[in-house]
Amino acid sequence: MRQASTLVETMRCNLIITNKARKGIEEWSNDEHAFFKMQQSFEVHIEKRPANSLGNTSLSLYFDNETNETLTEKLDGKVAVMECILQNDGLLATGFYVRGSKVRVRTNRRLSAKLQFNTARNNGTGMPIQLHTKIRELPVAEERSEYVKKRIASWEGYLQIQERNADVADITATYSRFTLNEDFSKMTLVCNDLSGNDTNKIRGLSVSLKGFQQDIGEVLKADKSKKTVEIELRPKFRDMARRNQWQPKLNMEVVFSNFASLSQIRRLRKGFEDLQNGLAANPNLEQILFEDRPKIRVTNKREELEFHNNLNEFQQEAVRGAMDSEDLYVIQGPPGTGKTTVISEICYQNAKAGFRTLVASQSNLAVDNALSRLLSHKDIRILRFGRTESIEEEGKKFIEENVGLYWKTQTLADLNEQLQSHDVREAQLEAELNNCEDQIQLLQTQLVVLKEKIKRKQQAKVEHLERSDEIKNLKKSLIIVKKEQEKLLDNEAGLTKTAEGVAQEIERLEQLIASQLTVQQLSEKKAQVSSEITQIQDQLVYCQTTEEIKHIESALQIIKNDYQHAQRKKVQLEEFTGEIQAISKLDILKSRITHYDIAPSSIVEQRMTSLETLIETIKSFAEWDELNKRLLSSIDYMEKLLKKHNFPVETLQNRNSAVFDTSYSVKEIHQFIDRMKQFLTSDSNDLNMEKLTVFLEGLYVRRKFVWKKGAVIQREKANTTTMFSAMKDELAMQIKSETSTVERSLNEFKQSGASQKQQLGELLDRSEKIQSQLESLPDNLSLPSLQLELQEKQSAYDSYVKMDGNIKHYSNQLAEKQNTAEATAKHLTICTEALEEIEAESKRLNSEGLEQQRQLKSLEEILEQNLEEERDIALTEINSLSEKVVSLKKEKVRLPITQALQKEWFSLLQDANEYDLDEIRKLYVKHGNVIGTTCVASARKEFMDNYPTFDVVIIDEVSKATPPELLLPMLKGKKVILVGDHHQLPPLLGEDTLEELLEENDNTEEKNELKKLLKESLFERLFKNLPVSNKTMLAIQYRMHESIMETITPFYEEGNYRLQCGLTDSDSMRDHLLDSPLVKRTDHLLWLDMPNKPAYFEEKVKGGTSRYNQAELEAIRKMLMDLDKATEQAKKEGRMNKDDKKSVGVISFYGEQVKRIDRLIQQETSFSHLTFRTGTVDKFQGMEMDVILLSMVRNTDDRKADIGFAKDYRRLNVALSRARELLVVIGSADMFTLRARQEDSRKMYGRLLKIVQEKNGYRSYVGGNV
Amino acid sequence: MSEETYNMLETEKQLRKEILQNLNVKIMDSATWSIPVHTIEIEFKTVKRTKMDVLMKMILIAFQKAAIESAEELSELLLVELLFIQDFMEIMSRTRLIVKDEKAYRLTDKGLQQLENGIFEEEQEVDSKNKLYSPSHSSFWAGDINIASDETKKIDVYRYANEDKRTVAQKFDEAIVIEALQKDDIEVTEGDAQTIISEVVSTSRLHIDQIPCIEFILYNSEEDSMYARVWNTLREQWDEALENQLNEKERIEWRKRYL
Repeated sequence: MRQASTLVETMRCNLIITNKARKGIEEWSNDEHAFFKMQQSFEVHIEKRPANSLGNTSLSLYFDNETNETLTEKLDGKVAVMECILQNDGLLATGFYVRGSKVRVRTNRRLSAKLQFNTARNNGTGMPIQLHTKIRELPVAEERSEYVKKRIASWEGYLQIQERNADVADITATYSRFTLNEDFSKMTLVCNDLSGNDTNKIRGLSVSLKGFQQDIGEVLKADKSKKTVEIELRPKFRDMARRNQWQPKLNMEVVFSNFASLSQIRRLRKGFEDLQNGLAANPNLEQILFEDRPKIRVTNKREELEFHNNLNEFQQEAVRGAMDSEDLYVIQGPPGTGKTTVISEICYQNAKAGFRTLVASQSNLAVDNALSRLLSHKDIRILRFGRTESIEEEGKKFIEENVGLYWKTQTLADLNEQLQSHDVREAQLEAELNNCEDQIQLLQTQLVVLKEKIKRKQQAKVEHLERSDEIKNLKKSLIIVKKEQEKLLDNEAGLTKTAEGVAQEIERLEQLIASQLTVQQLSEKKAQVSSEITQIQDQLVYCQTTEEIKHIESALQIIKNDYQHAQRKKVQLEEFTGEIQAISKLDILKSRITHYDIAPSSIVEQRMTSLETLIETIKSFAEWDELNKRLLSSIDYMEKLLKKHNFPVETLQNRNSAVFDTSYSVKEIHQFIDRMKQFLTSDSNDLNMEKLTVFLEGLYVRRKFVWKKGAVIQREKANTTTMFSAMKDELAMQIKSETSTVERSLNEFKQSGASQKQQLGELLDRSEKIQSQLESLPDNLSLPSLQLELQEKQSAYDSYVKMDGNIKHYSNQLAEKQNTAEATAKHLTICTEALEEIEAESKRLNSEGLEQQRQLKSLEEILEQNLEEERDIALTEINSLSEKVVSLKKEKVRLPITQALQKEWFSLLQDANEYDLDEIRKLYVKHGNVIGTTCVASARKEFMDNYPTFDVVIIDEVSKATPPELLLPMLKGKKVILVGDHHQLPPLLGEDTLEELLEENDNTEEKNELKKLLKESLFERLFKNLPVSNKTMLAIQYRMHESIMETITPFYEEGNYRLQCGLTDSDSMRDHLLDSPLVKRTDHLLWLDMPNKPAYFEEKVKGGTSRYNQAELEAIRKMLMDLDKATEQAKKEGRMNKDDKKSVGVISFYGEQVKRIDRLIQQETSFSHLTFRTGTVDKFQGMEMDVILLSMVRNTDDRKADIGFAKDYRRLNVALSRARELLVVIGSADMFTLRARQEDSRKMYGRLLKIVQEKNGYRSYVGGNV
Repeated sequence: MSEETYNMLETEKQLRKEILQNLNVKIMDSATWSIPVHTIEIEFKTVKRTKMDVLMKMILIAFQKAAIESAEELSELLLVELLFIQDFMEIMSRTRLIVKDEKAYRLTDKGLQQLENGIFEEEQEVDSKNKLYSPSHSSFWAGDINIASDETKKIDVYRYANEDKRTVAQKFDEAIVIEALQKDDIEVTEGDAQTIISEVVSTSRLHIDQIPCIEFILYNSEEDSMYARVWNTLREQWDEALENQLNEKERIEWRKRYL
């Protein structure tokens, strides 16, 4: 069922045929070449099969039996299948056969391709690489199917339960009697021969009687003990019975057949198979259903939508999400949150986008409910598919046979509305036209005024220019005046400053002059000081003279001393000269020199030193002499010793001449002799002759040296005497010259003493003279102090002289300044006068300027008006208005045509007959874009043929459907949108909930299977696992009064999610308008608490499992009577319209109780102001009423008893969320809040009770009174 | 005892027997009374015209009378889905009934001919038909009253009979009348032509007959329920409308009286 869009372009492929394949082909054609030339190319669908034993890739090529026209004609619509092996250079056909026309060719597992086969030998065509790749990527179809089969097995349980119930052969019985009920809707047969076992099986089976071809209805229930079978009759048989035309003969056979349920199960099974075989419209479906984290294609597309309905933020989000997502979108919608509105909007949006939508639900009621609430819009063409008799009234108009009529009604209504508006439109047009013309008129007059104004504006422009110039000139002169003024101001400031300065100066000078001495004082002082100076100068001269005298006297004394000294020296020198010749010894000479204190001259000194050296040498002669004696004796000894040994000594004496030029010291020679002595005296008697000769030889050498030395010394002795006398001569000469020097000094001293004496005399004279001049002399006159005093006095005198000059200078200045001050004052006066004049001038200029500017401004105002633009605007407006007038006139002309045509159309359509409607029906069906049906019916063959796939499948009330049921519509959708509420009730299986089945079942194995299924809610799992982009929750409910809503909010609290009330004012919007003894206007939530006492206990029907509660029935009756009266009262008091009725739903957890409520309402009461709907809580899901009475039934003191189905929070949630205005809970609070077995149940009901109490809704019901 | 009375008694006996087949049911009370049924003569006109469906016809008319430039414009004018209009226009263009000149579509000669055929009507003679009308049911019935007996006039009239003069003299809604007539196969199709009721000329009451009904008040002990069964002798069936009327108005009273 995949779309042809996956087709690739035509590809050429080499095909080799085996004989086996050829055989198959030859059944249809002469040979393979002819066969494959039948068409240019073939559309085939390639399925990969498991690899064969050789590891080759096996393929099956299914030839499309629609697009391959020639082939299809040849095969009469049958499907050709060619088995192939994939080879590198093409395909190898290993088999060819033809299968039935119903074999599916396209599946999600197969690759669709358009191939051109080349069968010629060695053609070299090969196979395109992309085809090769695609085939390699293809999954092995069987493996994929096997996977799905494995996963879907978890759903088997649902089918097994249904199959177990259905898997019975036809049961035949004989009825002995039959009865019809009040309205002929049900027939009861009494079948005595029906076995107990069969009785259990026949519920839900279709019933046929002998003699009737059709089945007459379905078994509602069978009573084992009474042997009765209750049958719900088909409408046709109801009518027949009513007309008495149908009187089944007695004792005839009745056949119970499971045909209907079996066919239903077959459809469900087929759904499994289709999914396994890859036939889902969305290839992704199998993953979505079975993977824990479904791989969903996530898109980021966010298209801006224009909503037709008024949606809240959550609803908008849901619609946007549903439109934008791919594959799957899930909407969780608590009661009253506007799920249907969302569905309606999605349908509308799909219609706008050109999509076809399937709206499916588990029950016919839900489908009809959803369809009837879709908006009527000409773009939405709704079709209801299903068995007419099972479709509710609100869905009937959408049945194919009625859509023509529906369309007619809709179109007529639309037309009527337009026609009605035509008159209005005409008037509107007229008014608009008039309006336009008026406007044009107005604009024209405006235009004239504008033109006048524009003229004036032009004049103003000229004037503006003139004025501007004038102002400019004024400004210029003002600037000049200002400059002048500034200058004058500067002048004035300067003059003022000068005057001030001069005045200050004069003051200062006057002060100065006042502070000085007067001229007379000054000259007196000057005279005094000058006389003092003269006196001091005299004293100073006296002092200086005295000093000089003292100085000369001391100089004279010194000269005298020097003279005496020189005299003595002369004497001494004469004395020494006399002694010198007598002195013979150097030492004596030396001491006399020292004695006479004579410094010897350098020559004398030198002679004395060399003389001393000579004397020294002469002194050493004794030493050498002594050495000579020792040497001689030693030689003598040695010569004797050697002679004694007969050694020829003479040879030695001769020989020694060879040795010379050797010098020795005295000491060395002594040491030599000592060493020899030591040798001779040593103990060694063996005197070595040789050694002895060496010694002797040494002795000879040394004697020679000593003798030489002695000669030298003798010569020196003679020299000494001559040297000494030469030196004495020298010395005498020196003394002689010294004596003459002393004599010259003596003369000099005599002369200088005389001159000094003369000077002294002069000084003494002068001193005396001064002393006589000065009358008295101060005692302590000192030169420095006098000099200091003199200096002081002289400076004092100088300052007086200077002061005198100053005073004269100041006086001059003063006179000068006074002149200046006078001049300045004169200038100032002139300046001030000029300033005053200038200021007056500037003021005049300013005021003139202001005046000019004022006039300019008014001109500018005129100029500023954008009159030209205004004129242009007016002109364009006139133009557009004229155009509008033209179009309006055109419309006005056309309106009658339109109107006439519409009128004609209206009357034609009104008279439309069957034939016309049939034609319209055909069109409608062809273009139907919203199709509604039940899940199971969506798999009916007829439907499948007409609508194989849908762009979008919306499934409503998802939680009510089992996964196998959901699968059927899901298979058809390219995109699937699930809407439901997993906090509401789970699916029913037949008439029973899974829980009921669980309770009734004794087989543990089956029980476990059922329990597993109970836990698995496909919707819940998908909702939890899907990414955020593919799900949303609706959160604003509009159904219930806020107080009622509060009872269910705990069921929905999750994370940040809270159920909110969308009613802006619950009290006024959900006002039930009733005021009675039991119900006050403000009551919206009540609990009639039945005592937990025997009189109020539950009861069980004999032979049945269901329960009822008589006391609660009684309470319901009272409540209903009270409500009926209150409604009557409300009408009387004008709160309600006379014809309005309160809709009341009476619901219970137990079917038996509901049955009794029905009887109560039908038989025992008559309410003229109420309308009713009754049912079990489970059946009521999806419905809403103004008032709901909920009968809880369970009430007992049996310790083992529990609260039954009422413990499922989902059931309680449904029960509490049906009422719009008033919810009355009737039941034992103790039973549910204290006696319930499970703590969770007690808590849940405890919370409910608490909310009721908070709303002041708790009422105890005792003894039949509230 | 007239034959008629005898028949009535027989009928009642038969019905009782049937009712009592259900062992849980007791007949608490029974009564025989009559309802008035009016015989109304309806005069009407029919026309014979070519079979052409109404939308097709209207589209041709629109092209003839107005300058239509596009399918959208026509869709807005007729308030008909664009898709429908497009379907038709495609066929019309293909069969050359319309062509587009410059701006607007116009009918071709062929189209004009087709339209003329389509709107051709042949008015037929005024016809008349008698129909039964029950004020108690506010509806027309098929069939005739064969017997007009004096006997029935003696029995009581149904206690809730709707005998208000005003309602009797009421002007019937034309649609209801036509619907009643249509059930008599007056509108027929012969080949390419069909006969249609075009107008109801007049409705006039010819006479009123009293139709006997037999009422049973039943109690089903098993279900503890009380209800009425009313046999309508004219229509020969249990009359649901009357039963419902009685159940609604009297059930509480019955329970008080009979239980």
